[in-house]
Amino acid sequence: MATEKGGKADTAEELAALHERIAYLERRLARRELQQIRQERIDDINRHLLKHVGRELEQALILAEQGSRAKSEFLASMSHEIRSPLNIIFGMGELLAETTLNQRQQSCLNSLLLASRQLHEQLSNVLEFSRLEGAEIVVQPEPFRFDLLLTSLQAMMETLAREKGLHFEVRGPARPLASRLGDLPKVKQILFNLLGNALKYTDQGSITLTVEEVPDEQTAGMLRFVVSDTGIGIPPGQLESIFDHFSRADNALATSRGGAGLGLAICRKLVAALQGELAVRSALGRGSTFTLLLPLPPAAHHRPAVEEPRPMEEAGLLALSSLRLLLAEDVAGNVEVVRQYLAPYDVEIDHVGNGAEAVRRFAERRYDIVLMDIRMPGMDGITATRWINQLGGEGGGPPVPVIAVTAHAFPEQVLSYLQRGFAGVLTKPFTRQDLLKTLNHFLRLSPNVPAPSTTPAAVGRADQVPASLAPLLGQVLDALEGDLEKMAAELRSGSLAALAESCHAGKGLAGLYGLHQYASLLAALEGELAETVEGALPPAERLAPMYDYLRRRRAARAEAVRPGPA
Amino acid sequence: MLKAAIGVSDHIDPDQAIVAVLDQCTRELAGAVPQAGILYTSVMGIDYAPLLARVAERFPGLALIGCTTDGEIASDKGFAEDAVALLLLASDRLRFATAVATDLSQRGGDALVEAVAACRAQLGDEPSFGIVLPDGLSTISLPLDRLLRQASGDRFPFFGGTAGDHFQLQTTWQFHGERVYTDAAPLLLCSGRLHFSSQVLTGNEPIGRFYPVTKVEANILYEIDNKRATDFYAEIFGQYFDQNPAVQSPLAVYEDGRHEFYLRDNFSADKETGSVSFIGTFPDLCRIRLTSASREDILRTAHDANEAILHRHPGGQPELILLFPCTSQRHTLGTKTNDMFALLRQAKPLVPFFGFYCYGEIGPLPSDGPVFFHSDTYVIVAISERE
Repeated sequence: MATEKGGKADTAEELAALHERIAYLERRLARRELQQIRQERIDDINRHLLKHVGRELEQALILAEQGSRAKSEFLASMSHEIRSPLNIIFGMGELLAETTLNQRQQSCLNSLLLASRQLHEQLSNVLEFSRLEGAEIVVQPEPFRFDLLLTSLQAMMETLAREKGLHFEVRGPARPLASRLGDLPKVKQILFNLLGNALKYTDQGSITLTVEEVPDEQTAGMLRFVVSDTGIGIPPGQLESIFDHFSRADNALATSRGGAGLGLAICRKLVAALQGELAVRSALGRGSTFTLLLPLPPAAHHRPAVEEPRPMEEAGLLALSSLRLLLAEDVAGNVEVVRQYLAPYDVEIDHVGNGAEAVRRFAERRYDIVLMDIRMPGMDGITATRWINQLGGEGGGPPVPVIAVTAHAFPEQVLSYLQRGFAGVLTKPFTRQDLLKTLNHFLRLSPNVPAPSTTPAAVGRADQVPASLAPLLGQVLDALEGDLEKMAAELRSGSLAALAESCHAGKGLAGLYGLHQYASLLAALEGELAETVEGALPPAERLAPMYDYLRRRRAARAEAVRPGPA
Repeated sequence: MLKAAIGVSDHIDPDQAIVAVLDQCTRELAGAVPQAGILYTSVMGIDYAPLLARVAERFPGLALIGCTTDGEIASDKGFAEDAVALLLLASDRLRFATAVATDLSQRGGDALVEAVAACRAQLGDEPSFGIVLPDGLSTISLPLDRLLRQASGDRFPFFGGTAGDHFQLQTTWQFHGERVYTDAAPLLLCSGRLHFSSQVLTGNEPIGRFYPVTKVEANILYEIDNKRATDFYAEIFGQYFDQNPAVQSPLAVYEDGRHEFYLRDNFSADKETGSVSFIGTFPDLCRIRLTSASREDILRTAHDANEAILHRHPGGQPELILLFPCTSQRHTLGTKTNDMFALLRQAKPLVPFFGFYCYGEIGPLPSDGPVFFHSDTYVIVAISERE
């Protein structure tokens, strides 16, 4: 009995313990489930939060981009507003220098010209830095003649150094360097800035540019450029900060030279983009040495696609004679500059103050060339040019080049003008030489003056891409290909007038970029179209040479930018 | 030498749990007589007085404080919930005193001053540090840190955490001796020659933009970025805020002109007034940012704090470690909660550690600086007697 009771008690105890255990486990399970629910909620909230923040960041990015665009537009606008009067200051100063002046007047004029040059330099630097700051720097390597680069640097610096009573010397490498592959405009900009600084901060002694090849197993064609001067030097504590924007060596002598302190900041950005290195050492009061390492490998082709322009004196100017020029410009000072620049030549200038008047005048008279301001009251220069090109096409005569004369100087703006029917662009401020060069170039291209370029000799004329426009070549080829497709469609639909207009516009664009062979092909077709009997269509394969040309040009460009052997 | 004995039990029956806890402590004390003790429990909906009576019965004259929690932490089990945990302290050199500040929400400042004075009177000398366990719900609109600094005269640091109620967010309970309180703050002050070190770290990272707080009163935000606070939350958290206004995503608070931040957890919302209440107060001029905390972030900061405590304690090896982590950290960590103490559990020899998951944390920032009230933070304190 006792055993039975004991057994029952044991069983009751075991049962109670089991109940306890079950309750315990149930509680654990409930806690675990609750925990899982909480954890899932926290994870969901975190994901939701991250999405929200992501959206916020996206909006911030859009706002920043809008701000950046607004900044670019502001810069473009400021650039225009400052360059325009600067053009008058430059022009009038240049004209004034040609008159008889007494010593005091000459001294005042020199100060005036020096200050306007400085202003122009600062403006260009500020704009360039702002552009580089926000945008990714696109490097466009092309083959170029290294010896011509050194020649042009020497030509520029020798004159300026001589004016300050300094000795300037270029020490080339032991063996002459042949064609090199690199982004020539950027290389030049870096070297100009370094040499310009040396010139600015050196009052006596010399400036030397030394170029040498550097054996480098990692990088083919590494070159070292050393710019050394005997100038004021840089305090030791500021050797790094001088590469920061708006920073100059902080000493009284440096401050007295003026400048916004952007040149070296621009250099550093460009050098980084070109995968190079820039270093400086200096002794205060004894001079500075900037050492630039740049990979500029030998080009695969010895004949450069980018021609380094020879110094201006060598270019030679054609005599301008019996020329009729339409000038559309609303600022009287700018009109006066053009008039005075061209005064020694037999050029008849008709001036109008806005686009609408320009169109009306063009419809009334035949002109050899049109200089068109972009921003004018009423009808702007772009609209007026569209009308003028249309009038020119309808008139049946040879097309008249319309040159944009503008203070909108950014490369992409230049390209957009070319795509909108301008034959060329002259950027303010410009010198007399700039103006004469431009007129010569376009009048040579224009069928109005010399013989039309439809002869086999002209077709065979070599392309010569100006170095300053080389970075835009890829985009130009894109534009020309697009135009060619449009021309093919015009040919298929029998729109011969439109086709002739396209030939004309394409010819101007190609000519400006030195693609003379392509310009000749288009000029030949344009000539044929002018003589076509109504209803007679050229065959579809008439555009084949143009397609061939663009294909070859593309292939040559691709080949040229491929790095060659070291 | 400071002798620390810890007992913990999550037995389903609280009466049996306290017996088991007392037995463990007795064994660990090995005859030493404890002067002070701290009791934590996350068992809710029971009468706590019998538990306290059991402790007093086993250790007559013990100076005991304690509170309800959102989970207990002890050396041998790590994290436990629905448990009873007891820490007993025995020392020949240190002196302990306890008191309780009551009616905190009504007379917070005065009550704390009186409680500190009562402790000082028992100690007879200057306290070295204090442990405080205020109600975690009734005090949310009080500037607890300022009141504690006022009560201590900024002459010794307070560590601690606010009492929880196993995340029911209804009522929390505080213990002093054999009595049970709510809306109170039990204190344990210690004097004598000792070393202590502390770490106060959070794993939350501010993300996104800054928003100005445009209308605030104590712990209630009325307007953020010129919007009603409820609209601000609804815009950002959508359905999660509608379902439960305690969204468990703390705000980083930047006082005017400061770059460092502290955290605040929202607690409830009043859609009529458009206000959102927080655990802890805000300054009049501040900006806020949203924050996010990953399990990895929380574990990393806990690991860093544990490492600093174990290896940089001024007295060499600590004799006791007290932990006051925020309850939100364990909710985020889930099954990884015990990983917070991984380093502490690996220490050889093992340093006894004891703590609870709090609704708000209290500790100096920096370790020798003024006391602050924190949210979503890990507070760890190491103590050892000085020779």
